[in-house]
Order: sequence, then structure tokens, then C-alpha cells
Amino acid sequence: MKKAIKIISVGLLSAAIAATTSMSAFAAGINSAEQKILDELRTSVDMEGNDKYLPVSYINQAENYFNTIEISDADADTIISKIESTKTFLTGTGAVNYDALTDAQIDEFIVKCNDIVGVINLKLFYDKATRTVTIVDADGKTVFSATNVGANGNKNNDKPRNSGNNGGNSGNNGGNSGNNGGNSGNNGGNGSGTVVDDNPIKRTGIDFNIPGVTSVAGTGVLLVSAAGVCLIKKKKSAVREDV
Amino acid sequence: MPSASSYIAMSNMFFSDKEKTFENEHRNIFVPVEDTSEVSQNSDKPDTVSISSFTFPSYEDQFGELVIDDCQIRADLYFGDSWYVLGNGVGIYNGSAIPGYGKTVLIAGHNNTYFNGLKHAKEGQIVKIRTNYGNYKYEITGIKITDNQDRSAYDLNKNEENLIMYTCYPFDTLGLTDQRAFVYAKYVSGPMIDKNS
Repeated sequence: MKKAIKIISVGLLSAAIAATTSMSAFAAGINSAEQKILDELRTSVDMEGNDKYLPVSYINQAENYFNTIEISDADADTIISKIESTKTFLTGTGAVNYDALTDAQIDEFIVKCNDIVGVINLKLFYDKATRTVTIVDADGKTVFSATNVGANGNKNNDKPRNSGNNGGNSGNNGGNSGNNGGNSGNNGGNGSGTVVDDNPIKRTGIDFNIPGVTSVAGTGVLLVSAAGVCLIKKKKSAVREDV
Repeated sequence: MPSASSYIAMSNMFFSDKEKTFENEHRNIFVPVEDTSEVSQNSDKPDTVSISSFTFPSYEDQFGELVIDDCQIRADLYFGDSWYVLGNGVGIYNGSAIPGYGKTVLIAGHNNTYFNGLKHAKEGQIVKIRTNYGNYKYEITGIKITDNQDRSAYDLNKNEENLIMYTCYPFDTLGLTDQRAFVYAKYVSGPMIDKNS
């Protein structure tokens, strides 16, 4: 009996390992369906005669995420169809860029983006105050994030940063797209050309909300306070009165 | 009482009788691989690694480590550059690329902790990155101090393997600053990722 259980256990374990291995191998790389979506994301959307593109960093986020999942042809076709529909919506707004959209149009745009990423079970969140777009998977894990969406300086919007063949990435159309989706797009600034990249440069100084720093700072405050009391008691007369 | 919370948390560091739980721990997929960089350096073309042969990192996964001996830098390497990541190591911006992908690898780190040693960076120094799929070397080619809004400091569209590390500047400032120190490095060795296999 023990032997039978052992054999069954080993069998189940082997099956589990095989399933895990095949899944990770299956999900690796960019398949043709995912490539189609990436290609779509690199196309522009026309807004009052201006071609708007997504920042290359958005496309890269999409590609990195696609490297961890597997999208079917059917889902890719649905996503691309929804992206095109969203582009048509943006063109139809008559706005020259994302900033020119009304609040109602932005809301509708975000709903459409959410609909796109929903095809592959992602959820998009948009914080209007900070213009931050975050897309999470079913486990709540971040797969995409961008700040100041649509609020770029516009100084560089005349030229695609992304030169090259892939051209700039579909503008505003919002990111959408699947995975990364969202990005509400087009930030484009005024006028012409494409969108500048979302600034990826982070605040790399130690912020004061970091627990460790808070603790150290707290300790410091306590020590300084204690020392201060001592100094005041012992050296009150040393305090200058002319400052 | 909110002002007392940090002190209570601090005292808990020393006096808590609760066992630490690891519910919020993130995935660590870093298992070092054999170093073949010397071999690839001596061959005509760099070796490759199939993208299907390793686990591609997800956001906030720890998947390697970064070492610059000359700068006394040794930090865990994460994918993503969230506050969690920067509190525990250095992180690759997920809108850039992982080492070996043939694009720009943009890595952030805090100036007072893991990337404080960048103040010792000089041209010619070697940056070593070990990942769960290969070991890489880059050579520092330049350093630039610039505004954090200076978009000319990096090119995420470059189709050439290159490394950019950055941190807040001045290096020993406590708090947030507007300037960043960028350290640029060129690819020396390590397996290029074969995206088609």
C-alpha cells in the first residue's frame, strides 16, 4: 500500500513539474498574436491632422509583459479590433490631443481602454489628479504603470523618439492594448508629431516615508531631543542673545 | 497619535515578540548560472540563451544581482523600480529591457544606499550583472549629471545592448533632489537572448 501511495505521489509530482515546465516554456517569448498587438500599438492615431504615437516605454512594458504570458490569436484579434475602435473614437472627438479631451471624453476613453485590457483579464486604473495609469493582472500584480499621462511637455513632440522602423508607437490611442494598455494615450501635447516618452526617471533620493529612514530619523529625533534638554540645562548661559 | 506610530514601530523592531511573517515578500527567481563570460569573450560572437529556457521576470521579481567592485556596489537586482524595489536593491525600469535583450537597460537605485557607490564610478570600470539566465559584463564609458527631466539622458529606443544606471545627485544628500547622476556603460560580454527559440 505504501509503495502504491509512493508511486502515485511521484507520478503526481512528475506531472506537476512537467505541467509547470511546459507552461513556462509555452509562455516565453513573443508569439505571432502578441507581435500583431505590438505592431498595432506602434501605429498612430489621427487627431485633427496630427499623428499621435505611444511612447516607446509603453511599448516596451507591453513587450516585457507579453514575454511572461501567452495570448491567443482570437484574443489578439479582439484586442486589435477594440484598439482600432478606440482610435476611431479619439479621432471623432475632434480634439487635437489628449489634453483637449473633455472630462466626459476622458472617462469614455478610460472605459474603452479598460475594455481592451479586460480581454486578457487585466484591469486599468486611472488617477485623474496625477494622470497615473496602472494596469494590474488578476492577482493584483502591476504589469504597467505610467505617470503624467498626457501631460508631457510637448517640447519634443515634433519628432518621434522612436525613430526607426517601428516608429513610434501608436499614440494615444491609448495604449490600450492589451497589456499595457492603458496608457491613456496620446499625451501628445499639442499638435504635431508624436508623443514624448513618459519620464521614467524616478526619485532615487531616500524619501522620508521609508520605514527604515523613519525609524532612524525617529531615533535621531529622540537622541537630539535628549541631548538638547541636557544642553539647555547645562549651558543655558551659552546661548547667544544677538541672533 | 499618528506621530507616535513611527516610534512604536521602531520599538517593535527591538521588543516585538511576534514572529515575522513573510506575506508581502516578493518572488525571487534568481538562481545563479555558471559563468561563461570568459568563453564568450574569446569567441567570435557572443553566445545566446533561448528565451524559452528561463523564467522571464515579472514586475518586482528579484532575478539577479549587480556588482561594481571598484565602487563597492553589490545589490540585488529587480525587474521594475517601485518603492519596494528601491528599498531592497536596484531595479530595471520595466519600460526598458533586461540584460541581453539587445536594448537599453535602465537601472535605478537610491543614492544613500545601494547606488551611493556610483560616486566612485570612472570610465573603464566593469559592471557585473548576474541573472537567472546568464552573466553579463559592461564597461563604464561616461558619467553625466543632469536634471531629472532631461530626456536626452537616455534612449529607450536604442536597438543596441547598453546599460544606464542612475541615482539622485548629490550622492550623499538625504531627501529628494532634482538632479540625477547617470552612469553609462557599453556591453562587453554575456549571452544575448534569442527571442525566437
